[in-house]
Amino acid sequence: MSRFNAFLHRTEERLALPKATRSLILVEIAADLNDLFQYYLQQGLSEEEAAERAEEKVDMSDEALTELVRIHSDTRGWTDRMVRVGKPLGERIAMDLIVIFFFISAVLMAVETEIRLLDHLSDFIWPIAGIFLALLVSFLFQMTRNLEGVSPLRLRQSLVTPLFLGAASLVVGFAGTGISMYRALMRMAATPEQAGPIFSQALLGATATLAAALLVTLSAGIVWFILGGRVIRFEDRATKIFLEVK
Amino acid sequence: MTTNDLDPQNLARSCHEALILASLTAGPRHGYQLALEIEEASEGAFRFNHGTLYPILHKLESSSFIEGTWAEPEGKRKRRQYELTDAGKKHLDRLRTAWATYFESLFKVIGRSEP
Repeated sequence: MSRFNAFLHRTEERLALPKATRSLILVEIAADLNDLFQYYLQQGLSEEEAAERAEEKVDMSDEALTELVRIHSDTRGWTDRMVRVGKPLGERIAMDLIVIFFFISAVLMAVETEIRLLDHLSDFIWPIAGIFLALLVSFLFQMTRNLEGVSPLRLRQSLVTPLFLGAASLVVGFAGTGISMYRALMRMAATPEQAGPIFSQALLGATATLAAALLVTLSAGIVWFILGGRVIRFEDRATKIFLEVK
Repeated sequence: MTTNDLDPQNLARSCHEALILASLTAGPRHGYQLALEIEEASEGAFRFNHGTLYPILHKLESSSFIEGTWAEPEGKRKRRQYELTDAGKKHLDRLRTAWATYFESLFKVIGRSEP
């Protein structure tokens, strides 16, 4: 493939994307270049003419390159930067440990302060529990899924699921808190003599539900971080394999 | 989809999308195959530059209208090939309707040439 190395290098320099994505695009271009080269040879062109024609055909305008970068940045962007912070193994382990530390700290705090979530949860816990179940199923599916042959774009899109579920849990948690408090205030207005117990019960329920929602959101963050790391490791491995045959 | 869905500033893109999706109804294809087949089928009316092709293919893939996989034929290098998805078939139908309506409207205004 040395014939097209200079062309591929020039294209690579113009692709402002992470290395793994850039390499996969270049491998696709390289294969098409080679096929076109063979096609033009069969049409009777000399090797030089065939190579020149193939490069002309595959060459991308600045607009096309910008569009390509935009398409791939949509599914990467800030999520990629976050997950890629710990690229060297040591940093990556450190990042993993920090996230796990936060999760364990949250659970320990709940135990330490004797927050008995189950005793005070409001009805809004059910949608939150449903979200947590969906998160768990999604996590197990993604972790046991064979990534071979799956498109990088599709892999990236699968990372949106935990983020979406985490956000949904947060929305339900806050909405539940607001609605629970509103209901309590209505009951307090109707029975002012019971205002104290009603308020404290509602506050406990709302706080417990919100804490559960926050824990699910935190879990979603951890799931996203673990899956993101897995996708990136897969992409890096795939890139290495592809580049070996270049 | 109606003609309103064909953004006047993106007619070329919409046309390219329809051409690519229609070509993929015949089965999975590589990028270069698509370009050559479209050129041949249209008798040279649509000449695809591959540079234009990649953003469209990748956009269609990110919209789940096509699925890209790496194929490795025996003794040959890895190639990216694309396949039409069910969502892509539906999108193609919408594009066909939109283009038909668009051209009908156009001919109503400019008229058809005399045979």
